[in-house]
Amino acid sequence: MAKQTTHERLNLLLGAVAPDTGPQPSAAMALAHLAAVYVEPADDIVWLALSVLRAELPVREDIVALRRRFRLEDPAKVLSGLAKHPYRLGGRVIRPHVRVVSDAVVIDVHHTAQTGLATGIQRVVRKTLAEWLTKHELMLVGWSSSYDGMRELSPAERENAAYGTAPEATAPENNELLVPWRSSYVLPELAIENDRTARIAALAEFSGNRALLIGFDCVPLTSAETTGAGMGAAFARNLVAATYFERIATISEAAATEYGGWRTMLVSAGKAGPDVRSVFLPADAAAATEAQLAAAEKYLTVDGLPLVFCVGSHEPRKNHLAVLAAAELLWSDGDEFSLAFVGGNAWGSDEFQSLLETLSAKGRSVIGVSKITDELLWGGYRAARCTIFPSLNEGFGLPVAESLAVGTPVVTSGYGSMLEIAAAGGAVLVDPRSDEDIARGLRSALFEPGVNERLRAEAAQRPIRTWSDYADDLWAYFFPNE
Amino acid sequence: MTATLLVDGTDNGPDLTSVTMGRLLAAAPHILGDAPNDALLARGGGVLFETLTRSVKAQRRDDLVWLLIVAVTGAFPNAEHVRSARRAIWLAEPVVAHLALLQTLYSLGAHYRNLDAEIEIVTDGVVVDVDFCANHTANTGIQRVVRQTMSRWDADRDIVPVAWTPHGGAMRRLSPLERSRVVEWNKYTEPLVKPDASIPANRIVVPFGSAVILPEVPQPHLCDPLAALAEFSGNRVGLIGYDAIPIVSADNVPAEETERFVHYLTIIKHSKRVVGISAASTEDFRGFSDTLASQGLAPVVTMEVSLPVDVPDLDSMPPAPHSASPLILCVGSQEPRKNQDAVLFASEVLWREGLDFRVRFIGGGSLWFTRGFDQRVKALQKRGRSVEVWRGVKDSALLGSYAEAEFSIFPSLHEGYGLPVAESIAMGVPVVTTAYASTGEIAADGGCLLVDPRDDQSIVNAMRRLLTEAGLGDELRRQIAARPRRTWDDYARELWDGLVAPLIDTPELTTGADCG
Amino acid sequence: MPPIESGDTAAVETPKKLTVSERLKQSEAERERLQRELDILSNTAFSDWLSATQNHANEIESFYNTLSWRVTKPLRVVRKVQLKAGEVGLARTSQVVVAELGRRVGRRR
Repeated sequence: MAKQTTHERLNLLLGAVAPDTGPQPSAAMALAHLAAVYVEPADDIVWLALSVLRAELPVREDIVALRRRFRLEDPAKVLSGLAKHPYRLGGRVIRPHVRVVSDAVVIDVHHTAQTGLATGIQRVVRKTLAEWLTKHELMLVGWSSSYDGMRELSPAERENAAYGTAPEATAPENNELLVPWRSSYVLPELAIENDRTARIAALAEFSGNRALLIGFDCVPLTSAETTGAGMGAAFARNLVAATYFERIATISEAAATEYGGWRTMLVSAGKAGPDVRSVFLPADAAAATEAQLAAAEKYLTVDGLPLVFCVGSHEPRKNHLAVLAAAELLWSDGDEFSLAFVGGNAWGSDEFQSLLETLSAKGRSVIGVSKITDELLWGGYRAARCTIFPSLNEGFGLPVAESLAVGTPVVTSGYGSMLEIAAAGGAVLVDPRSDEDIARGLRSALFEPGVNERLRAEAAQRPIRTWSDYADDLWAYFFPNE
Repeated sequence: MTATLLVDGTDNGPDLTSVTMGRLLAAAPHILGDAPNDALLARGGGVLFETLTRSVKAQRRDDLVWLLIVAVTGAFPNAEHVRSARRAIWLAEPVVAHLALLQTLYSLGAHYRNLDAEIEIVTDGVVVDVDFCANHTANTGIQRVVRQTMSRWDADRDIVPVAWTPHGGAMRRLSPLERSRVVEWNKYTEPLVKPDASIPANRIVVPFGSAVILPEVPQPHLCDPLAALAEFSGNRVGLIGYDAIPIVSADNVPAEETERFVHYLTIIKHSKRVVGISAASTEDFRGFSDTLASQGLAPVVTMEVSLPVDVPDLDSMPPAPHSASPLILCVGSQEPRKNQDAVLFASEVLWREGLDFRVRFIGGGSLWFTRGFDQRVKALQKRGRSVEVWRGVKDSALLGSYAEAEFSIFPSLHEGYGLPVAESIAMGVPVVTTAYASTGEIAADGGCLLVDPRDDQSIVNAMRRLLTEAGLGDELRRQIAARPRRTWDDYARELWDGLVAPLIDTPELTTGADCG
Repeated sequence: MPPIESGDTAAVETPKKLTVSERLKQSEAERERLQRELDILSNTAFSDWLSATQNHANEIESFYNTLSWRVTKPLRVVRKVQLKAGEVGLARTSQVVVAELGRRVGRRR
């Protein structure tokens, strides 16, 4: 691709801020027209000037400083200085090709496009994207490796973002900066890189684009003791960016409560904050064949004992230590059942591993599986007598919804998002901070006469909510005028 | 008493065991309901410990678990320690529960090396953690509030001020020097040579069934034990809430500060009460409290007791300045959040309009910001603008500047309170400041012009008014003299009534949290 | 049980027939003996724990004083600078470090 000239970029800018003026035959003439527009300019065209002429997305300080320069100096001088200003100090100056995209829906899936991970967040992003792609025109974007600008995804990245089927996907060959203008910018994943969140914040605050967010939870703020070092600061900067967004669609009412509490705190900095509303997640109920069911039972249970199935990583917030302790209370009382954990080791899971080994050595029927196929997972959900998920703090809790979707009763926490999911039936609620209450709930779901059957009947009555429903509700909230 | 550390590992001598037994003895009445009889004591320390463990296991109370851990290790546990210990006790056979417990407490005991400490248990009291003020001579915003309050509470209330043992193992009483730093700030002098025995004998202070007040923001290494104290110990924890700047304005503070703050929030979420220093900062903590229902926690009660603003007497009000070139003062630490660059910009706009005035910034900041800021100031000076930056000034220079100033300006983007505004008013100098949140609250009683700090024109207009509008300055000075008077005596009394009193009169005297 | 004949002192122990109160006293004594054993166990475990905990703590202290810990201090300082640089960018970090060094050197003069 031929190198984009200063002249071309000036015309690009002119075309966006003064569309009726056509492209100019010289840089000087383009500058002259622009100078007339940039007399005491509004914030959005200041943002645009920086993005287009410097070929990188600006941060807040850049915009405020430039706004002031326009008031004190000759606009033409300021603009021509910008246009000539190299965007990287020292070394080779490689400016990306700037592309302004107007009236588009831009979806930022940088991380999802490049990862093979399939945790909660990625599943929400992919399911939503897959639905939206069938119904709407979307521009999928990621970021440059230095996080100073956005670019359109390569075809492979696009496929991985929507379906997770190309985890090795790499960025496109061309070096492009995509500048959204009079568009909507949707951030459906969690962004925690400082350079990225600073630029997203500036885009949301100044650029005039509509900014929309999926809000998963505020755990690094409200349960900092359960997150690793560094997460608090990175997440807080994500929240600073969210300050200027128009709408946050949280995945549950509990998450809306957390974001709502955060929004109250903004008043002390003179900011209003976004509209916050819950758009409740759905749950899959993937089918399983008889063979898959048998395989799951064989793999996960011991001696034909009833299976208790626990899905999720072993980080402290998921409270798996309490599950082991509760199970031990029942085993030492003579109750017989198998307990299978499916989920990887995570930060802070040493004590869990240690207790797991101790109980195993004691002869308890407990196993931990870190890698599992989808078939085995869904087979496990169905083969289980009940599942267990006594998390301390959740934005949603997919394993609870998924278990109930296939008709298997769940033992889960009696508050927050888990209570919201459980409200439609099929769950035993417990206090996750009490090993004994978890034991009580587990015993009830496993052995109390009539309980398991009643819960299964309740689960079967639950209304079905699909990813298509969710994607439509989300779109309707983000784009109410369509 | 210094610890007798023996290397061969087999013989502690009578000291270690008997001192530990002494701690268990102090805790015993709270656990057993009665002092243990002589027959029990005669059977030895291990037996006493076993008896206490059995009793804690039978009663299933979190606060007793916490107390037992502190008594045997001489150190305050983290939440993880408490949960491990609790599980060990609950799950073990009664006859070996005490052994299982010892096993889980090994790392806690070894980490703090406080096994030779004596113990003082404070029940139905008010324990106030002033660790930072006790150990440091810095006197910025938070320390000023703590020292003003503590000097008054120490005089007329029954309180136990505490600091922490080295490395943050447990609370302890203050040494005489530390006490001076906290309650006699205005009257004592810091000795050049620190006295040898600056830390008292190795005795820990353990609140139980008491109110624990945190008027400072605890240092990072104290957050875990304080959070566990708030969650498990049964003591009622109350705090002064200053601000949530590291969250709301996270882009304007170092990452480390935000990390530290979210860690601090883990104390608050298990506490009973937060009293904010302004209506805005109270809202900050109410917002945080609102999130707690999502994780099944009870809300934290929040209320406001705002800091006092000194008002000069009419007689001692400084006369209006008669400078030909009016002086505009901008006092405060220099950083992006304080918005000094907006003051530079507005000044340049007004100089270009032909107005004659001088601008003086007083204060320092982190090199990250001040380097660029100083360059911008130099560039203006090169063009002949009357702008200067004073750093490390003596009090006399600061007072002199206030005496000379036409008005001061403080268009900060985010404050918990805004001491420079209060200070300017106390000096009788009108101030241009931010319309929203805490500075807006201070301004409500008069003497200020309000601006939108994100709108440069708003700042330009306010400055222009005070420089050109005849009588405006005088009017604001009149307003200052007429402001209601509120003193540190008022603040200390209202803070006690709002923060401490409800925590000692609470009807739901703890029986410990639900156990599991 | 037939009463023991006097003179019947074979190796085989023949239990003596006890009254209820004698049996009670014997059980009591046995219980007290067992309790004392448990007490000794508790006291020993307790004392051992105190000793191990305090002495292990000594090992931690002496490690901090060793040469190897002091030698690694410069490396740990470098790591801190690296973390800072990661946060604000290398160019700015070096500018600031140079300025800071300049200040300190200036003061010493």
